[in-house]
Amino acid sequence: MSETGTPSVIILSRRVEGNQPATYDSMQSAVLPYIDSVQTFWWGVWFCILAIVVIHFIILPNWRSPREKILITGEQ
Amino acid sequence: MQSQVGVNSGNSTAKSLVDRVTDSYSRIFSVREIGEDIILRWMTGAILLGFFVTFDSWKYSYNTTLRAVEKSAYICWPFFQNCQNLIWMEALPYGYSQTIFFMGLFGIMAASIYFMYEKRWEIVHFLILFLFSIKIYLMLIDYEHKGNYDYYHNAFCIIYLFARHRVFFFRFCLVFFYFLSTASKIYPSWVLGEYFTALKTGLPIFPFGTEILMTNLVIIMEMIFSWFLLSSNKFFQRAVFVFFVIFHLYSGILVGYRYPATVLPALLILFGPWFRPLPPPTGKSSLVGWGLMGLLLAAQITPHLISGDEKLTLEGNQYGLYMFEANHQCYSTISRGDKVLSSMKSASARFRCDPYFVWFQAKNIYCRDGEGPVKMIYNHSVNGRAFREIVNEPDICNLSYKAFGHNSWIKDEKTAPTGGVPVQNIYQ
Repeated sequence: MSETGTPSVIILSRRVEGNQPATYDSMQSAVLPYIDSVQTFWWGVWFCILAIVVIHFIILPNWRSPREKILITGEQ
Repeated sequence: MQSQVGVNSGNSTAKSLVDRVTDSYSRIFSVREIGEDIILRWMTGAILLGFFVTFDSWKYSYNTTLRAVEKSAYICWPFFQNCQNLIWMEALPYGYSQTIFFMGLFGIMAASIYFMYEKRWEIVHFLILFLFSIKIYLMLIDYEHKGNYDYYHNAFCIIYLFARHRVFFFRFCLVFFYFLSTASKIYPSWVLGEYFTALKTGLPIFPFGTEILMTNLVIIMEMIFSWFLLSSNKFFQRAVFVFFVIFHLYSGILVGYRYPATVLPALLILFGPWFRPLPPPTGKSSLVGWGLMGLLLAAQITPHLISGDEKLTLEGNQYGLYMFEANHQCYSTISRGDKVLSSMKSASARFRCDPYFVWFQAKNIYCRDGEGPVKMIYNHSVNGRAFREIVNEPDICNLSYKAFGHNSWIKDEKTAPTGGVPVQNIYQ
């Protein structure tokens, strides 16, 4: 930290000299306050899909929609 | 005449023994399934291509050599920190053994192609089993041999070698990998697109300001729509297939040939023109396949079970897929008293900034002489945010590293003090 309280800028390589610290664009700034909620939402979707996959492929592997039955077995 | 009969009889006995061994091998590993299915025959080629690109990038590796052991430059996996006992080769410019070894592997790959042509699938299977065993050995002796493409390729090898219902599990595995990869993407790197806005060059092709849209599109496609690759709905299946073909070609702009060379052939073979929906296998014959999927899920969940932000501490981070999980920058010093023994800094987004690397090497190099405590300071920035001093230890010689838990000497996002901010960095 500098004496004014503003974080000092750290440049680690000559290859990044002249670059500025990253800033958020307008869309990122709009989502930023809700980032925790958005991540929780994605985790919710992730676990729901995992549950559906386990049910569909492992617990009830023989369940088929009528369309799939026709495609896989030729049954009408 | 009698001796001629004896020779013929001996030959036929030897031949029948070879036939019996071959038959048993084929039966145990269900090799017939491979020879009878065009998808599996092509997957054999895709797996061999995977070996080729892998070994090509490893053949001059310094970390797997005796010289690296001598200089304490090797890096073992956190769960196997004595791997140096298994290192025996020497690479150029110090010796030929490693390149001789890798050319031997090249010969085996070439032989596999010949036996594919001869349709001797049990020999091809055996040679791939050998190549896979060697690959696991080489991964075990170097913590740097663990790219995401290796996880894909290893899983494909396990299915090819040991599973039944191979076509189904190849397909399921590829889709499952897309899904699992999103577990490492539920983070501001992707949800906000921070990974790419922290890069000076932003996203390839797409303009600045679209990062958040593109990264969320990838999350949606990999988490939800990738399952439509298995769908019987031809329109959805084809549309998602085309998306992922383009996605892999696009990703190669950043990651180079190796990732697309490992995944794209499998995608084309498994979900391209030969695709027909298959019912999920059940019963004992499907145990290997489902067991592997369970292991992949467990590996992906592991870092999330360790307290602290795994993108910052890197604890458990690389047991599952971790591609583009965060944009890293770091700097560290190793010192004794006022004397700086070594320092490191990286502004490459691709370098993972794992404090374990620095700790492991510094401990091996500086702690053996018993000349006093060795201090380590490690600063890490994630996605262009302020640096955090995640390690500040007066003596690393007395520390150990837990492979599957939180190490109290590595501070997390709640306890690590912040410092300055980095500038936008670069990918390489």
